[in-house]
Amino acid sequence: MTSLAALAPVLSLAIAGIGVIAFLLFFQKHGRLTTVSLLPYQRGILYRRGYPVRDVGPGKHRVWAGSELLVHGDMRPITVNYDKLIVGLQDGLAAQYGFSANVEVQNLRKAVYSARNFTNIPHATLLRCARRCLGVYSGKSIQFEKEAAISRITVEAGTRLNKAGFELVSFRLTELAVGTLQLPAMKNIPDLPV
Amino acid sequence: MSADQIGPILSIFFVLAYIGAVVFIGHQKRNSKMILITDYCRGVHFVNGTFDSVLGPGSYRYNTAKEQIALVDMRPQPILLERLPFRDALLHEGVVSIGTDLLVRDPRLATTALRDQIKDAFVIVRDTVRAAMTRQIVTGMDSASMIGEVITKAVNEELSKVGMGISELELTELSILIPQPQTAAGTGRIQ
Repeated sequence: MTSLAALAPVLSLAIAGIGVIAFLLFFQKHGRLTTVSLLPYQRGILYRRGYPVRDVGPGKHRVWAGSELLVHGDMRPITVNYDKLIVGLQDGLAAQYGFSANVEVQNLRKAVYSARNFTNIPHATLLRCARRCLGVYSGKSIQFEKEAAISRITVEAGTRLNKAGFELVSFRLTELAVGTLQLPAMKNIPDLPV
Repeated sequence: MSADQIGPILSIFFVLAYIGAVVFIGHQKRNSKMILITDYCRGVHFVNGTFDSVLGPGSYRYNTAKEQIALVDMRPQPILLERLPFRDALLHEGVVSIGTDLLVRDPRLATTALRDQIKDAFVIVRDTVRAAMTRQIVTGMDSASMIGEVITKAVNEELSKVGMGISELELTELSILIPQPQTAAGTGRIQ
């Protein structure tokens, strides 16, 4: 009993020390605790050890920097607006067109995985669909079937956007004119990545 | 030795051990960095300047003095080639428009071969498409599927040299520009 009583301070020192080291090792493993605030128009996905664990909404969130990551995205509508685009038609004529569209993020998780920068998806999809759908018409038919062309673009783009976690809210063809195409004109169109 | 004699010795031993442990952990923390690799990324791990491994999703701590981890995003990047002029095998001039997704196929090669994966790969795609089109006889959109396959194969072959690739290539426009007399009433020229 006497010997144990004499060792009591040593044992408490040992326990306290182990506690301190465990505390340090815990922080070493998990990183430091940080706070991430999401605004009302933002949503996020919390990743733990590299994998998504849950979707989070606006507000304050505690995140262990180093072992957790909050990937957030802006949920406000994306406006897509292009003017003076040219597409070759089936009869050798060309159409000059422009469009305006509104797209909303419906499923952030799908959108995040759809591209490196998911805001590029509506632009790329609408440009692709508009060009593809208008290119199947001839100079005469495109003027008579403008509404059919619009609905065709809307359906095709809407389907593709849904697959990527977006919703096409509106699509409007702002400009459509048919004419002949001059060769130098095509060299003025820049071909930049979206 | 009695407990009264052992007690102080043990206390000194523990205190020294704790100081050592704290100093060691502090030193490790100062020279190390934590990195989180999400499931859509890979980490290319270099040790002493040479490639070591490709890291999958997870949380990693590494020594910044001798290790580096380059993050590579494996998600697709949509690219568009709008109205790319070409001259086909019969010397007909035309335009082709392409939409596709760029992907990283080999994170190690993409990291070491390209400074900017998207911009550099985009240039390769454009040049390869133009080169591939000069070997084709283009009749219009009816030859689009065959030309699409040829372009996909040629571009993937070129991009594989730098660890990249394309998927879901779509020919959105393919037309041959044959000079036409201006007889169509009500049509103007598009610049």
